Amino acid sequence: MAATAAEPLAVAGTSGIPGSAERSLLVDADVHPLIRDTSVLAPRMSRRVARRIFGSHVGTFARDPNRIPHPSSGLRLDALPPSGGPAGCDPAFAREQWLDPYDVNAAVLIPVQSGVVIPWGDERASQEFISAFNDYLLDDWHGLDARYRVTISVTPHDPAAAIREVERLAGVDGVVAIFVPHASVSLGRRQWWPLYELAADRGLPIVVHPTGAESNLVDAPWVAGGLPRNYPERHSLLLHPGQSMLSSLVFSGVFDAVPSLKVVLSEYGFSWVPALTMRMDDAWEKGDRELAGIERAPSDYVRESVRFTTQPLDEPADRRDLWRLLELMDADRTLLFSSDYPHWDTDDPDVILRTRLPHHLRDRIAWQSAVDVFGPRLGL
Amino acid sequence: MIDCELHPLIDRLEDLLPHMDEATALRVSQSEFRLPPASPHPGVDVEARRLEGGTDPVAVAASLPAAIDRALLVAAQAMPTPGWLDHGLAAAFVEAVNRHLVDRWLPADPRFRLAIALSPHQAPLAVREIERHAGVAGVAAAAMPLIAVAMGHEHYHPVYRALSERGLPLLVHPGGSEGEVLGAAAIGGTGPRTPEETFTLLPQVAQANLASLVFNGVFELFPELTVVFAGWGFEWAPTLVWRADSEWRGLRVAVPWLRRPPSEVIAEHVRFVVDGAASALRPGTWEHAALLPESALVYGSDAPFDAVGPEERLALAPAGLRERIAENAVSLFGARG
Amino acid sequence: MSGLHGVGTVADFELNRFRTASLDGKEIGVVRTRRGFFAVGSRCPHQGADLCAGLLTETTMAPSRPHEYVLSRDRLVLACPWHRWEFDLETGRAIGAITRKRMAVYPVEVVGDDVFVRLPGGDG
Repeated sequence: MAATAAEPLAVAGTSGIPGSAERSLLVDADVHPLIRDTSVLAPRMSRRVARRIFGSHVGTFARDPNRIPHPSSGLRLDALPPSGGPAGCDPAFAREQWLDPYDVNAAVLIPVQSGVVIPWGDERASQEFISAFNDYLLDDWHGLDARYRVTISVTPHDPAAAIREVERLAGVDGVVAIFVPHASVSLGRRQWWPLYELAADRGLPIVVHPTGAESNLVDAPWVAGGLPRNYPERHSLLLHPGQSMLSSLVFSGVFDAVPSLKVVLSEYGFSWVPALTMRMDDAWEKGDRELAGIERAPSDYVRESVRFTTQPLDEPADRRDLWRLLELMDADRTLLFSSDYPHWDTDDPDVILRTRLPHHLRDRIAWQSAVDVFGPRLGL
Repeated sequence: MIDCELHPLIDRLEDLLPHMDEATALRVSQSEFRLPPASPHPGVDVEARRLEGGTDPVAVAASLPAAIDRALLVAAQAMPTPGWLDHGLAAAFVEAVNRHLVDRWLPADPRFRLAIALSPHQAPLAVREIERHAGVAGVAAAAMPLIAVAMGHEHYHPVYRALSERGLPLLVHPGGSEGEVLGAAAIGGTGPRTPEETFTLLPQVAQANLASLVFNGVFELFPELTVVFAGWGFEWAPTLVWRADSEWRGLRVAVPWLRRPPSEVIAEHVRFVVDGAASALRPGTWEHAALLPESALVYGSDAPFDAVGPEERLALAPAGLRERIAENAVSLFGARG
Repeated sequence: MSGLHGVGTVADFELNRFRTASLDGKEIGVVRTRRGFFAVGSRCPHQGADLCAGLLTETTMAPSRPHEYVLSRDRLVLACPWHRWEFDLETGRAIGAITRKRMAVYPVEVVGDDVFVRLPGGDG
């Protein structure tokens, strides 16, 4: 017996505390658009590929919901569009529920749904699906509202195809970053470097974000230890692939080869950043700064080139405990506000920015650091 | 001050053969089998170094710092078993290591205490090993490395039961195959490719196993059990504690056997060793220590690897915490200390 | 104005469906259930989500042994639509002591066909 959405007698408040007079701009660095029925992409694909993909069932997500089910739903229960379909599939409703009441000036769309291609062996199909998905987001989301800024996906299976896709779209208004749904090849590997050179050259950060495939699909990254047994156990360990990608990138030397490359680790948390960075520096020192083959301390690269998003914000009993770690991670430069709208563990911008973070970092986290990393591509 | 992590080294396989049945001794000496190297945390060492000393119990005892009242012997060379596929061989090997340490090390100095090495592969064999040595004077703990079955799994329940009944805390320690070998505990991502990555990411294994212990209710079933993470650092722990609490608050219905926050469970049942892995000479490390309960940390020298005495290793700890760290180990081992 | 606030008639309330109103500057949700009427502050004490759009159930999970699930049916539970924090619809207390923060709850009085919420202060 579920309650249905509230029916107002008078004025019903929207969720949270909308609007804020206390900050000037807001960039939401992690918003998730969803295609309700991926077969709408078929007309944008070749006949063979459309038949290949839609002849068999293509899941909406890269995670079988039966494998490790969320006890209710991985999406907000109050974000169902009146037009039907799951939360996040209607850009007009998302605008009404999220962008407008919260004065979001730019929402970075990260389409984790493109992670469905992770287990696909048909590389042509992966490329066409992803291209179609990119075009759909630009047309239906950015085309509806310029505040939606699109992180274009690239196929994780074919670096040359990934480069062609970036070349195709880098000049299109609304394109803000590149999402690599990470599969079995670590992001530090040399095969990615030409993509990173192009990305840096075009001012496009590389975005890394969980896809749902972690510790589920054979071709996807995994969390440490063994197989988790329940949802909270797995969910609390999703930082691992992000940490691994980060250390892979740092120790590969790519930041020496491509100094202007920017990487955003989205939805992996950030309170672990000082601990991991110290450990990377220790590893570098243990080899007398020579063995690793990189020119600078890992912490330098992280400060210069890597960014993290705030959601899900840790909630220690005393928020000042978290603040100590902010100081250790150059949070005035490295941290970007994110909501993860419309997922269940979303963060409210005003609660986070007004009550959970230090005042002097508010504007940096709310929009300034986002402008620094995404630049004029945010459209602000 | 109790040193919770002193590594007795074995330099000859021949020292172990007398402690095996003759068939196992034959298999071990005539096959490809090799005594695991006595190197610092094999696999995570960024640069292999030749090691001097550490194999003579009398010499090791003589070199104990004056501040050390007790030293827990943790056999690093018994920790690579997660990568071994012959479970019987793994069990027989650690049994021989334990007998050797009981025979030659425990009697060498009254300050020595022993952590019984366990192979994680087959719980009944580990239980047998616990029963064999739990009554031996000087035995104060057990030590186990980690396989790809996380610690919350029912697989380990007989081991936890035996340890709880015998009042033995469980140390978990790296063995060198983490993240590199199928069957050993995985490191996250797609597998580290360089020693720097392995070193950096190794704490993930401890983090994952802590999440597994908590979210699968091990401490609800075994309220007498204490788990000590040795060799993984501890700076990773505050993130896990906070995140686990947030998950529990929203997802209690998925884990309704958790009647209290994970942070409380961890404060009561889990300890972390401040050893060589813990970047102890960085101020940032002690900022992280301040985010954990005062009861959380114990000292370990990690000798003869990365060996630094307690004064130096704890030099940056606030004075009160240093004392507390010493007390925590006393409480941990109780009458066995 | 504190005191009693009329929020409609019994017939206005479909079973288990919240209706909200702004009363005395507070967002209040009122619901008719098989166990009677309840009124709550609609903002979740966690991050302010609209509790009235959450999950209202008669069951939740009782404390149990590891890997066992036992239903408890002794109270009505409202789960926040965001992070799913569960609150006792009658007392406002969090289920399972997950937090000391409480959902605000207000007495409801039904007089004849009319439904009233009593807010603190005032008389009436």
